[in-house]
Amino acid sequence: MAVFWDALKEAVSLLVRGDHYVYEVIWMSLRVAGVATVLGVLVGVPVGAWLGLRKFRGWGVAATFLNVGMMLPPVAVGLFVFLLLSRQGVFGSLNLLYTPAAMTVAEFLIAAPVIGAITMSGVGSVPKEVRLQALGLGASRWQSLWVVLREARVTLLSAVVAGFGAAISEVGAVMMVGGNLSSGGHNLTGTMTTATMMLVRQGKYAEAMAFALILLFIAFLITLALTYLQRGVRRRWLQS
Amino acid sequence: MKDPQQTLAAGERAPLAIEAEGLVKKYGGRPVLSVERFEVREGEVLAVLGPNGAGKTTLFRLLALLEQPDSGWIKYAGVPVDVRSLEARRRTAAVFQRPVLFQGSVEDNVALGLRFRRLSSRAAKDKVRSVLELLGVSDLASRDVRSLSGGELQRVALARALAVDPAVLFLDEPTSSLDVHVRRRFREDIRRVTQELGLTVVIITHDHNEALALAHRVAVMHEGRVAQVGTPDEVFLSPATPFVADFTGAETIWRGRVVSCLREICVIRTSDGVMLEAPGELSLGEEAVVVIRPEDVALSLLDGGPGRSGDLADNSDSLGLHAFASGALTPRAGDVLTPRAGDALTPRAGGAGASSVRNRWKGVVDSVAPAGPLVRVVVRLDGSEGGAQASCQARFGGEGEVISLITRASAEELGIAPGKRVMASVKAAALHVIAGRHA
Repeated sequence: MAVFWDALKEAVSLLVRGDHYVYEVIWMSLRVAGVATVLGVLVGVPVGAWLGLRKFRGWGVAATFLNVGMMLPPVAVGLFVFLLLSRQGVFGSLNLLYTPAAMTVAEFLIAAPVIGAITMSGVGSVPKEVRLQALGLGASRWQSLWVVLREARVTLLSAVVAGFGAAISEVGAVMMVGGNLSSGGHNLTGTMTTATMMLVRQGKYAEAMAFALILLFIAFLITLALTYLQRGVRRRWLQS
Repeated sequence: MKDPQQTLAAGERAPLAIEAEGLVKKYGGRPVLSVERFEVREGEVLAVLGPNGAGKTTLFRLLALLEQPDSGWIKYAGVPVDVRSLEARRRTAAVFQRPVLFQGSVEDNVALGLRFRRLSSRAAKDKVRSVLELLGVSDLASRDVRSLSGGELQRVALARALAVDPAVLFLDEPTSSLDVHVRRRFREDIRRVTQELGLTVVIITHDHNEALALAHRVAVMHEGRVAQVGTPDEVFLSPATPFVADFTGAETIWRGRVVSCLREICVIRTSDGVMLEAPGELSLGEEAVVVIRPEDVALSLLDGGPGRSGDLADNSDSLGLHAFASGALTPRAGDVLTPRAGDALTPRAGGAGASSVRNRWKGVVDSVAPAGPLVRVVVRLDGSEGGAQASCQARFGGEGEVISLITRASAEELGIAPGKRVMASVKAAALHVIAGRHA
């Protein structure tokens, strides 16, 4: 138990002192996961909304594909991206392997299906009449789509948060394509998850604990924000 | 308030607001709608009446440009339109069966159609205030829609549709999601508002009372087709098919054949052997369906009792055919009677005494059930042959029986109860005969 408390104390001091390496890793994590989530929203929301609104030939296949995507084993995604970006891969010439860009691609591939699948179910559960009613009040196609998305906004918000959560907590794929590299005490491709793994292997429990604490804190912040947003939106409705 | 008949007369000359031809819509390969021609005139309230599954809502969605027909065309004010015609769709507004309100306040909802049209928020605010006032719900303006009752929701939905000043207002079963007492008031609101604004309205309903209360014209739908279009009087008093008769509340529907005719009065013998006289241009031997509305059937006691007839009996004969003296037939009437008529037609001797009523049948009260302020009495007629078997086969009101609506007071006074022997009488003018064979 003493190990635990020592690690915890040391972790807090690292964070308070503003250890350079620790902060670089935190920033890298947030940046990569943030960009991956934004890209995931740009792709996942339109695809999910489309599948949620339209039934067409092959819809079942497409929806299954999206749902399977949500369950993608990260290691498989990592291997996939690794092979594409490796020297012999299709995109080998871009020299992206072991860069933040590679990690962003991997996290995007993990976050996008999560965002897409939750959007699909959220949009799909908005009654068909909502869109017809919007059209029946003179909405253009786009305006009617906007109305449907607005009705599903709480679910959409959850989709974004779930996507970000999946991205920032990713280890396997990021490790494979990022490599958790550092040079001269400066972080290159380390994220909180991969760094924690390596540090534990090296017996550096304090630094590992610092990252674990930050990850926990982020999880807490996200949950808090989501709860507040949902409740806040509701409160605003009640007041207006 | 404008007189509906006057408005109608004006409507007859009014230009077409909506015109459609050859509309067909299929779902999953199954045709659910097939309408040869449909017209809505400017300024009229047109009710589309029919049972569930008749294609009413599909027709509404096509006419409102919410869905694309598989074939056929639609014109608004003479201009061809389809689902992509945004400007045309923006000249209409729709209220749905279940009020679909969007998350937010009442004001937000009512302003939505205006925001779609990019109206300035100041102008929108004024408009919202005025329509909420029109519907008497100004006090709800800032409420969250989730805190509203069903009646309030539907009123807000109507306000939201009216806010965009629609040239045509579509109402899809607007009152069917409401409780009965709220429904009546909301219906009255619809009537008041559409008259005040002189709107063109297409109202979908399965309730013939609603159609009667609101519409200048009624289109009755059956199995995806328009069975009849006409004024409420035409549709209710002269139904074109047995289905229309049944759906508009004529409960007694008999099939029969014309056995003799004289001076535009024909005798029809029903498949159950009941004889009756009806005015109309029919030819001898022709098949015909006889329609009798329950409120046109008067009852009187046959043996004992006060000897008064039910209060809905009307002893003046609008055809001017007089004279059934007790116990004897007038020569004129006698001419048209067939040999069987003596027993199947009226027992002129005894009973209710002298009357000009042409059709009187003896029978036994089968059942008595309250129907609002009235009582619904089913009388099994003596002359009928088929009995139970025939009535099982009957698709509409049982053959060999007649259904009457009388007031509770007269039912009590006459002591109407199952097993009582009564005489049912119907003026010939109150009969409606649909010539031809109908399934």
